[in-house]
Amino acid sequence: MESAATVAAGPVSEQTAPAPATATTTAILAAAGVLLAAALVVGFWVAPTDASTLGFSQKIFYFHAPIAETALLAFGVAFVAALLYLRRGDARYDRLGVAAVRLGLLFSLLVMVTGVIWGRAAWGVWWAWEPRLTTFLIACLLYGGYFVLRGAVEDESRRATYAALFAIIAFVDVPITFFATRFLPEGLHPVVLGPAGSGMDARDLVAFLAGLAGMTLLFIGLLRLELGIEALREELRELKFHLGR
Amino acid sequence: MPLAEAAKYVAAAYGAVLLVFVAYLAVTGRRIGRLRRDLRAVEEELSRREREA
Repeated sequence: MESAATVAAGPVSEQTAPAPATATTTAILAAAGVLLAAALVVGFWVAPTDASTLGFSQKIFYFHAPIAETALLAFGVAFVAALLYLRRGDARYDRLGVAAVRLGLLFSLLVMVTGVIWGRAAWGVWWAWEPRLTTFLIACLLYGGYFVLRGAVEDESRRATYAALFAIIAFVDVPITFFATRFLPEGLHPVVLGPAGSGMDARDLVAFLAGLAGMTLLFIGLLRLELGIEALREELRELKFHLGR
Repeated sequence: MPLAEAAKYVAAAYGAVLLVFVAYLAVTGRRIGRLRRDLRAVEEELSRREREA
């Protein structure tokens, strides 16, 4: 990507509007698509239908659980980016944090939606105030507040610093959410991968792991795309600054 | 739960995933489109300034 100074010095060509999605990003997203399709094929056509009370509704698991893990991963990336920003003051880490939280919220929305649907099918209720659901909802609200905070601070440097501090504080809820089912086993959620193993059929496990790998790659691909967009926005902002707009 | 009823929930869950991702991609496409339009506007202004200089 050309610098704003280079662009400002001469005629702007088409190269100054780089595509946010590079060939690598496209390849990652394609690989994610293949893995997610494989997870569905194995989950629906190879893995056995759950013999417990869950029955066929258990098929929601192949996307629901990987999406949840990926949402927490996204918040973890935001946490690391926040630490790096506070340590180095590099705006790229602020942009990484924004992109990671945005995607974390996207995946969290999917977790909540698939979760309430599965909850209705499996437990007979749309919502239950049990540890995993409650802590995940708190995470969603906290990270939603991250963008409210960003919108409330005008100064760029202060906004990035406050957002980084907020992302670090909000991350406290992430391990609580992850370990909620382990520490509070009286909840409705089962422990999927515990010390005693998954207890899943091998075909179920393959579908779950393919879904997990696919969702992780999807997150990485979308993160690269978001970073490309943020870089483009920054480039444009600098160009406008040079033009005195 | 009968298979037919469970299938509705499963279809709703996977349909919701698809819908949310399609909506995200549509919003992202709009964001990129808006940025490109802004860049074109900057390009035109730069060209104009070059002609005037």
